[in-house]
Order: sequence, then structure tokens, then C-alpha cells
Amino acid sequence: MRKFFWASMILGLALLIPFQARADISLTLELDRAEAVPGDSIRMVVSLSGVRESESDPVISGLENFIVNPGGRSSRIEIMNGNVTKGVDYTYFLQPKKVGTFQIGPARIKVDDRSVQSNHVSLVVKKASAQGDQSGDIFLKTELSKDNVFVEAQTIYTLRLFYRIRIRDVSLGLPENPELTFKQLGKPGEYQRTIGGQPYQVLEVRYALTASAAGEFPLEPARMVMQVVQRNRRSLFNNFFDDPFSSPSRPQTVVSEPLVLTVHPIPDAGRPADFSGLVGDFKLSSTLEPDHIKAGESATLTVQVTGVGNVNRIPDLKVPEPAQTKVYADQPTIQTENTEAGSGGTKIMKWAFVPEKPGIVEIQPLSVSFFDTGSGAYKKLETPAYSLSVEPGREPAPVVVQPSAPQQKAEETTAKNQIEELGQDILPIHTNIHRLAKSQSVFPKNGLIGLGLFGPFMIYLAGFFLTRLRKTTPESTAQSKARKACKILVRECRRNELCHQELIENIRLFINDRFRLSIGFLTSQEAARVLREKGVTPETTEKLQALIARIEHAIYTGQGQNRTDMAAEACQIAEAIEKEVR
Amino acid sequence: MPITSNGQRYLSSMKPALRNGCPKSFRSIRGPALLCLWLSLVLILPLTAFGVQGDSVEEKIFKANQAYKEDRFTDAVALYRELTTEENENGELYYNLGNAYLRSNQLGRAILSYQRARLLMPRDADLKFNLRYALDQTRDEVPGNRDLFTQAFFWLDAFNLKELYWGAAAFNLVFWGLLFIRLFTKAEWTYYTFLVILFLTLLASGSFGIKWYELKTDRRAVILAEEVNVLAGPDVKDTILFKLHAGAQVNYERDDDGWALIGLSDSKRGWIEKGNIERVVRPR
Repeated sequence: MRKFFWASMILGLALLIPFQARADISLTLELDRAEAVPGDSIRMVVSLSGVRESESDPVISGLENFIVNPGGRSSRIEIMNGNVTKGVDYTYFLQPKKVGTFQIGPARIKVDDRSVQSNHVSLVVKKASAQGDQSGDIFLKTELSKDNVFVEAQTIYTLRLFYRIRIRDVSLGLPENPELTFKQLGKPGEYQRTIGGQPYQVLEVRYALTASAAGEFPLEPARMVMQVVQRNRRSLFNNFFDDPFSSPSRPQTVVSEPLVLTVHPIPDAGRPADFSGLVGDFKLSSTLEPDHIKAGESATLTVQVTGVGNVNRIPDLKVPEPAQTKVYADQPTIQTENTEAGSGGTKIMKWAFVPEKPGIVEIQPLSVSFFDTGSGAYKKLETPAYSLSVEPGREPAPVVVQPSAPQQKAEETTAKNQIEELGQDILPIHTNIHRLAKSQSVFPKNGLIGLGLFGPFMIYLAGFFLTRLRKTTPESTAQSKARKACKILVRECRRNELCHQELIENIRLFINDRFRLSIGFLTSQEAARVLREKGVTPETTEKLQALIARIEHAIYTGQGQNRTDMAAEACQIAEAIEKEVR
Repeated sequence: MPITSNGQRYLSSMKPALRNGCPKSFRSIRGPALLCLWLSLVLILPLTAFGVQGDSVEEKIFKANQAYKEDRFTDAVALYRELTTEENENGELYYNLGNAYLRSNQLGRAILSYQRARLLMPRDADLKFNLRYALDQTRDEVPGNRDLFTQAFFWLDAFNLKELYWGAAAFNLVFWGLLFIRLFTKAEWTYYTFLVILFLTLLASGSFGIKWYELKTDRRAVILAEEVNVLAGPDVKDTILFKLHAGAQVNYERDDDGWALIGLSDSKRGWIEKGNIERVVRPR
């Protein structure tokens, strides 16, 4: 009996323990507050007790109107009055999306194939005050430098986050509108400020805000989301060494107050014809360097427009091309910069002037019109007119060498220094555009080679054949003889061995060749007749007639004039005939 | 003012006078007037095209020079390369391109550009200076190779092919002109002049012919990559025989499927990838 009792006791205990364990599993849901406002971060903890771990995370109903951020999971073991309790805590941070009363829960979780359900809780979300929450550990303020502006004019939109708790991972949500443009000005700034006797850290971000259309623009509240570092309740001393990046934190959202921006249209009255939509405050400067050059060289005109406003609307200026001058425009450059006054920048435009001839080149002024937001009126900026002085192209200067006196030379002889090379580099590029633009080729064209090498040869060949053809015809032969008759006679007469007979024979040949005759025996009368017919003057005719008579007399009598004199006279008469007949 | 718009205005003012029942006085000159119009079109249009082309070339040259002066060497290289095509070569542009390559630390391409400039302007002092500077930067000592003709005709390096051609053509013209004169006169002075001109003509023509042959058979090439392996065969797996570096001048013997066979004058030969080398004289 005793054995049966102890066995049943042991069996019962063995069975009861699991039941006991099963009966201890519970799930609870709790919030850290019952009331909140939009932007608050409510801490919700779902506690599972009786087990050290579960198969999955809990599923919580009623969270449709909240932004849920998980806050982590932690296990716990509690010993109370000798009882050991194990459990798991699931932490969440809820941010309400709208006002109202909401029921959160129950939470459900599966443990050992059994579903466990928690309680539910109520949360009342009330509307935030009109001015926003301007007190407390953290709040956000916004302001506009000007709430009445013109289209495309800038106003500075400043956000200031005031906080006196530790925060990290701050992100910003700006009001969204397709006709509004926000451009951040520099990096966010941090400083301290005392409000109501309380020191606050201030995080300040500034934007240049422009509107592309006229009208009234309500600016929705800006939202800043951040992680607020949790304080360690166990020890204040430990807080000193807490690392904010590893300490637990909770998400927090702060919103600013709404603002209204009124945008007026740019007035049409007084709008210049060249107005490009440039709005702001601008200045214009220009330079021409150099202002004295030689023909073929270049001078650069630089125009710079600087200011605060919509610099992308600065127009590309057009330079009218002066006479006999080439103008080359460089690509304009825009440098934007953000200053305390707003977003602006500089546009730089350059042109190169290359005059082709010497003289004065007049460069007309260039102008830019813009709408000055300060005075509310249109303004025109203009460059001055420039005059470029162009001298003739470079000529080699004459080198004048002054020979020094011998004494001076001796005195001037001094020791020379060796030229020391201090550095090495290449020579600069060639810039004469006319020479650079000339098209060249390594090989001459084949046609040109043929023409240059064979052309003269062909011309010679043609001339050669032509001259040959001329010689073969009787007419050309006769003409040739006629042309050469006088020269032949002169050449023959200059031979010293010529006798009287030969002399008269040569005169006969001269008459026959020159006048294309075939006289067999030449008498003085016959010669005179021929000359008269051919138009020779009577004087020359008589001379020849007399000469032939003397030669005949010398032949037949053996007396008379010296042969050489007669030959010389015959040459003179032949040349006179040649001149008179030609 | 572009010639085209002037030409068009000219034509449009002429047309009504020719079309609308010309007066008697015009009928007699209609034929010659039409001929003049046609000739104007034939002459003016090519000039117009030349003028328009010239404007865009000059603008590009200016932009390239500006880019170089503002130290934008990559842009300058791109613009100079656009200008120096096979159809439009210019020694000064090649020189500027070489400078831009050198500033961009592309030694091989710089030397290649300078060598191409030398073909067109061999006497330019700036070019000689910069080429010497660039060659001093190369790492490899490549022995030179001058044949007998080049050494005998030592003046060939100082003239480009076109200058030698014009010299030969001028002497050739004088030579045959003198012979033509001798068809009509056999004066003694023509004989002695003929002998002198014959000698000069042979010298000039010989120089031109040798330079032509040199350029036609010019197989110089420049290594473009910083370092290349010269292999025993046209395959990356083949044995590396030796290495060459940017700017080294070699002889380009032949190519085969993306590889080029190169040789140095001291009988070293091997294969490298075609993209690492470029010939000085572009093959025609």
C-alpha cells in the first residue's frame, strides 16, 4: 500500500508539473500612457511570462492608425519570494497618425502550439495646440525671412530644433508643393540658447525657398523624426558613460507650426525686351585682356554676372562680330554658391577676338536685365564699350650690330658663366589658327606627281616633233633657208680664204635663198632687177649692183679692190637688204 | 557675310530680269549671262563649302587651344584628334596633339604624334625640342637604323616629301625647258647650262624618289601602352621574350588576327597585341 501511495504521488507530480507550467504562461499588453498627441512616441510593451522564448513574435491588432517602430526584445528571469518567473518582453514605439480614441490589442502569440492572447488597452490621441508644443524637452520652430515675395524671388525658410535631451539620427520632412523649390543653404548649424531660464541645444537648417508661380502657398508643418536616447534608470552615474549610439532609444517626431507664403507676379510694366526671367540682386563686371595685340593674335573678353537669385536664368550673351574680326565664344560656366543671403552664384562668359587686319576694333557694350527684388523694379546692367588696338603682324626687328673699339673690346672681356639647367619642360603649343587650319598631306597627289615630272617632258616631245615636221616640208625648208640666208652669207664672207669667184657665188646663193629664186648666173643688172622688185631701196640696190660689177671686173682683169673689203661690203649690203625686206 | 547668302541674293535679283519677257537689249546677252550664272554656281558653291568647313575647323582649333591653356588636357586631346584625320593632316596640329598627350602622361601617343608632325614639318625647332624631351622620357634604349641611301642623302631628313617633289618638279621643268630651247638654238651657253641643270635635276629627282620609297616602306611604329610583353607567338600563352615600354620605336613587320609582329634593329622580334602599337605612317 505504501509503495502504491508513493508511486502515485510521484506519477501525479510528474504529470502536474507540465500542467502547472502551462497554466503559468501569460501575455500582457501595456502602454506607458493613456493620452497622447500626434507626434508623440508611445511605448508599448508586450510581455510574455512563463517561458523563456516563443516560436514567433506577437501579432497585435488595432495598430492601423499608428506608425509602429520595433524597440527590441529582451528576456528576463525574476525571483520573487522564492518563486522563479521567466519571460520575454517585446517593446514597440507607436506614433499616432491622427487624433481619436483607439483600442490597441489584444496581442496573440503561439507557444508550444498553443495560442496565447493578451488584454487590450485604450489610447486617446488629442489634437496638438495651435502654436505647437513650444515647451518641453524638444520642439521645432520654423520661420520665413519674407512671407511676401515675387515669383522666382528667394525667401529664407529656417527650421530650428530646440532640445535638451540626447537625440540622434535626425531626419527632416519638408512641406511638399510642386511649385515650391527648397535649396539647402550650407550645413546645419548647432548652438545653444536659453529659453525661460532653461538651456537648449539648437539645431538650425536654412533653405532658400522660391516659388515658380504666383498665389498664396500654405506651408504644411515640417516634421523632424529622430531617436531619443533613453536614460538608464538604474544608475545616474552610469549615464555619464553611456554611449548614445549603443544606448537604447525611442523614435520621436516633432512638428512645426504651419506658415503661409504669398507670391506676387512680376509686374509687366517696365519689362525690358531682353528680360530673361532673372530675379534677384546681381552685379556685372567685364575685362578685355590684352587691349593691344597684333593681327592674328587673340584678345579675350570676359563678362561675369554675380549675385543672389536664379542664376540659371542668366542669359547667354551674344557678341556682335566686328568687321574683319573673328569671334569665338567659349562655353559659359556657372558656379553656384549658397551664402547667408541666399542661393546664388556666378556665370562667366568668354569670347576670343582674332582681328585679321591692323586698326581699332570697337566692341559694343553687352547688357543684362533683371528684376531687383529689393527695389521691386527692373534694372539693366551694361558692360563698357571696349576698343581693341591691333598692330600689324610681327616682323623681324632689324639687328643692329655696334662693333666696339679694340680697346673697349679688351676691357669688356670678362669671364663667362656656364649656363646651368635648372629645369626641363616642353615648349608650348602653336596658336596661329590660319596655319593650324591648313590642310596638308604627307604624300603629294598622284596626278600632281605625273604632271610635275612628265608634263615638261611631254611639252618638249611635242616641240621636238613639231620642229621635225617643219623641216621636212619644202615650204618650211624654203622659209628656213630664207631666214638663214643673210647669216650664211655673213658667215661665209668672214672666212678669209674666200676668193672673188666664191664671193660672187655666195651673193648669188644669198639672192636665191632669200627671195626663193633659182638664178643660175648672177649679173649686176639681174641682181638690181630682183632687188627693185622685192622693194629694196634704190640706194642699197645700186650698192649691190656696183659691188657685183667690181667683183666681176676683178675676176676678169685680176685687178681691183681687196677681197676682204669686198666681203665686208657684201655683208653690210646683205644686212641692209635683210632689214629693208623684213 | 557668308558667300552663299550673297550668291543667293545675287541669283534672285537676276532671275526676274531673265524670266519676264526680256527687252530686246537683253536678248542678245541672255546666252552669255546664263553662261556666267552657271560658271558662278560651279565656282562659288565649292568655295562656300570650303568657307563653311573652314569656319567650323577654326572654331574647333580655338576650342582645343583654349582647353590646353586651361589645363583641360583630356578635352584638348579629344578635339585635336577630331581635327587630325587621315584626310586632313597638319604638322602643327600633330605637334599640339603631342603636347596634349604629353601633358596627359600618354608618352607613347605623344611620341607618335610628334613623329607624324615630323613627316610634315621636319625643320620645326619647337617640334625637335619637344620630341627630344619626350624621347628622353622613354625607358627603353632602342638602337637606330639608317641605311646607306639615307646616310648618303643626308639632307632628306630636313625636307618633307612635298618640298622634295616641288624641287624635283622645278628642276625638271627647267631641264626640259632648256632642251626645248636647244631645239631652236645651239648656243654654247645652253650646253653648259644644260649640264648643270641635268646634274641638279638628277639630284632632286633622286632625292624625291628615295624619300618616296622611304615613306612608302616606312614601317616604324610606336609602343603606346605603358608596358607590353613581347611574346614568341600570337597567343597570350606564348613565352614572354622581352618587355617594351611606352614610346619605344619598333619595326612593324606584319599583323595576324589582332596581333602584330614587331622587330628591333638588333634582330629582336616578337608578337604584341595590335592595340598596344600604332604605325607612324598610316598604311594606305
